[in-house]
Amino acid sequence: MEFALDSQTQIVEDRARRFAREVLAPRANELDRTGAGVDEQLRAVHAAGLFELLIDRDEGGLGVEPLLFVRAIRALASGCPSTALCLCLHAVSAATLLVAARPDQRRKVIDGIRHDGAVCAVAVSEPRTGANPNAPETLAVRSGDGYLLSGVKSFVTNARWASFVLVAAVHEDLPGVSHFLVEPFSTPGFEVCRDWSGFGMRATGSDRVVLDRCRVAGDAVLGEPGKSAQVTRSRGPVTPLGQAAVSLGAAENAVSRLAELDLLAPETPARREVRARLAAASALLDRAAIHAARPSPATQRAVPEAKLVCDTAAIRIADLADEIARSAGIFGDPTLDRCRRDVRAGAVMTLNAEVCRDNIARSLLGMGK
Amino acid sequence: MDCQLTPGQRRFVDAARIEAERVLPIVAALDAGGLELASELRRVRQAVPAPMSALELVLAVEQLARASASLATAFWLVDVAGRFGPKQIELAAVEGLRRLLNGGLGGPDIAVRPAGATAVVTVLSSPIGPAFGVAERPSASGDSVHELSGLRGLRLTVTMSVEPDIPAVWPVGDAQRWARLAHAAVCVGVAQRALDEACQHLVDRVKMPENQPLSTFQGLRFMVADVDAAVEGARWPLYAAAAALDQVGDGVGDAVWLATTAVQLATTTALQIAGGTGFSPDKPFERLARDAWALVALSG
Repeated sequence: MEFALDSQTQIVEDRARRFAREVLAPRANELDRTGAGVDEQLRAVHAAGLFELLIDRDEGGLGVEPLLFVRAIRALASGCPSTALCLCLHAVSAATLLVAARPDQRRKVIDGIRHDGAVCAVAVSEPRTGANPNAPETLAVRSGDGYLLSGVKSFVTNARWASFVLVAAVHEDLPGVSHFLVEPFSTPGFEVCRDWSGFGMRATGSDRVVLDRCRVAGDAVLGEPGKSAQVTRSRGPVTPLGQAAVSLGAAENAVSRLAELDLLAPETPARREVRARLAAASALLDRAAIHAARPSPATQRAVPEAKLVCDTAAIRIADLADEIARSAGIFGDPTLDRCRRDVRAGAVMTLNAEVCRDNIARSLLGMGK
Repeated sequence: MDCQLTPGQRRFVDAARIEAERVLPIVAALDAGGLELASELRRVRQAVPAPMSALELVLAVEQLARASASLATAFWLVDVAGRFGPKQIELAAVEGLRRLLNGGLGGPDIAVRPAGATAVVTVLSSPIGPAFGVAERPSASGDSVHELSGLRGLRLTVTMSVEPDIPAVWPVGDAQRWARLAHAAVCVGVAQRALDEACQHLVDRVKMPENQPLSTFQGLRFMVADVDAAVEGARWPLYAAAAALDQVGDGVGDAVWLATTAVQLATTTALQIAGGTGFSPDKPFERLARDAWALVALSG
C-alpha cells in the first residue's frame, strides 16, 4: 500500500483547488440564491484547462485516471458544488458518447469541447421510470431516414447550455434501448423547460426536457440500434465516484467556511467528528478510484462503499458545521446553508444510498443482483 | 497511491491470519480464564515476524483481533513496550494501557492492571527522556477495583485510586501514537469479525414458517451494509495514518475515532441481528460486544 499522491495528481489537484477558491467560491452563494446557471463558471473552467478531463490524451484531452478525476472534481466542489457537478456530468457524458460515436461524430464533439467549450449532457431519467437506463418510456419512431423522439426527461443537468445530449429511448419496432446523440441548439422539438428550482445544487440547471417529435438523423444512434448496453457500460464506476467527490467537496466547502469564521478550534466532539468523517470518506473515495482504474472483483463493493460513505459523511459534516456555527452564535450563514442543501443531492442521485446499501450487502452475502 | 499490499506487508497479514485461525477454537477458553494468555502470546510472537513499521504492526494486530481482542492487545502492548521501553516489561505493560493510550489524562487516576499483579505501575517514558522503569506501589485501601467485562483474556482490573501517585511521566510522541494506532487496529479487527459473523448468521438462519433466509430481508441487509461502510471507513484511514506515522505522524486521532465508532456499531448491530442467539456464550456475539465496550472505554 502506498498512500502518497503522485506529483501529477498533486499538481492538478492544487491547481483545481486554487481555481475553486479564487474563481468559483466568490459567486457560489449568489448563483445558489438566484438559481442562475453555472454556464459562465464552466467557461472559466474551460479557460483554465480543466474541461477535457476524461477525453483521451491522443485526442487532445487530459485523459486522467479516475483518481485524478475525483480529486479534481472534489477540489472544484470545495468552491462551488454546482459547477463541479456540472463539470463531472459533462466529463462523464463526453466520455460515454465518445465510446460509441463514429469517427466524424467524435471529431465534432471533441473539437466542440476543446475549442468552443461545448458542454455534454445525458438525458436518461424520466418522471415515471426514474434513472433506470434499461426502461425509458421515451419513444423513437422511424420517420423517413431519421427518427422522431417523443417523451419527457427529468433532471437533465447541463440541459440549458449543453451542445451535445445523449438521449435514451426505446424503439417502436425494435427491442432494447438506444442512445441518440442530439444537438439541442439545432434540433427542433427539443424543449428545455428551465424549471429547475431544486432544494440543493440550485445552479446546475437540471431542467426537464420535453421531446416533442424531436427530429434526429438516422445516424444519430450511437452504436447499434437497440443495443445501448455498450454505451451505458462504458460510464462504469466513474459517474458515482464523481458524484461522491462532489458531495465530499461540498462538505469541505462547509469546513473551509468554518475556518474562515475561525471556528475550527478548539477541539470538541463535533469538530473531531468532522475531521474524522472527512478522513474516512476521502480514504474510501481514493481507494475506489484506484480500483476503478484497474477493475477487479473488489471494485464491485469498493464503489458503493465509497459513494455511501461520502454521501452520508457529507450530510453529517454539513449538519455539524451548521451546529458548530450556531453554537458560536452565527445563524443563517449563506455558505453553510447552501452546503447543507447541496450535500443532500449526492445521496439521492444515481446509485443512491439505498442502492449502495443493497449492492454492498449483496456482495457481502454472496447474493446476485 | 496504491491500495494493494506489498509482498512484505502481505507476509505480516498472512502470518497473523494463520495464528488467528489457530487461536480461534480456544478464544472462548481464553476469555473464560481456562487458558493462559501469556503462553499463547509467546507462540504468536514466535510465528509472526517482528513488525518493522507502524503499518506492519497495524496489519498484524488487525488480523489477530479478528480472533481475540485480548490476544491482539497483548501483542501490541508487548511490541510497543519493547520498542519504546524496556524489554522486560512484557505482559505487565498492560498496566499502563489506559495511560499509554491517553498520555496521562487529567481527572481521576486510573490504572489498568492484570489480575494477580499487586499494584504494579509501569512507567514508560520517551527514549530521550528519563530512564525507563517499573515503579511499584501497594494498593491503597481506598482504591475501588472493577473487573472489566471485556478483554477478559487480559484479566484486567481498573483501579480508581483515591490518591493519585502515579508519576506523570508517560509516553508521548511516537510511543503513544503507535499505541493508539494499534488499539484502533484491534477495534477494526473486532468490528470486521462482528460483521463476518452477522453476515454468516443472515445466510445460515431462516425465518419460519416460510423457510426464508434472513439474507432476503432488505432491512437486515441494510444493517450489514452500514456496518461494512463504517468498518471500511475506519480501516483505510487507519492504514493511511499508520503509513504516514512512519513519515510525519498524522491522522492518528481520526483513525482512533473512526475505529472505536465502527467497533461499537458493528458489535451492537451484530448482536441485534443475531437475536436471542447473540446472548449465548456459544456464539461470539456477546463476547465481541463486551470486548468492544472495553476497547471504547480504554480509548479515552
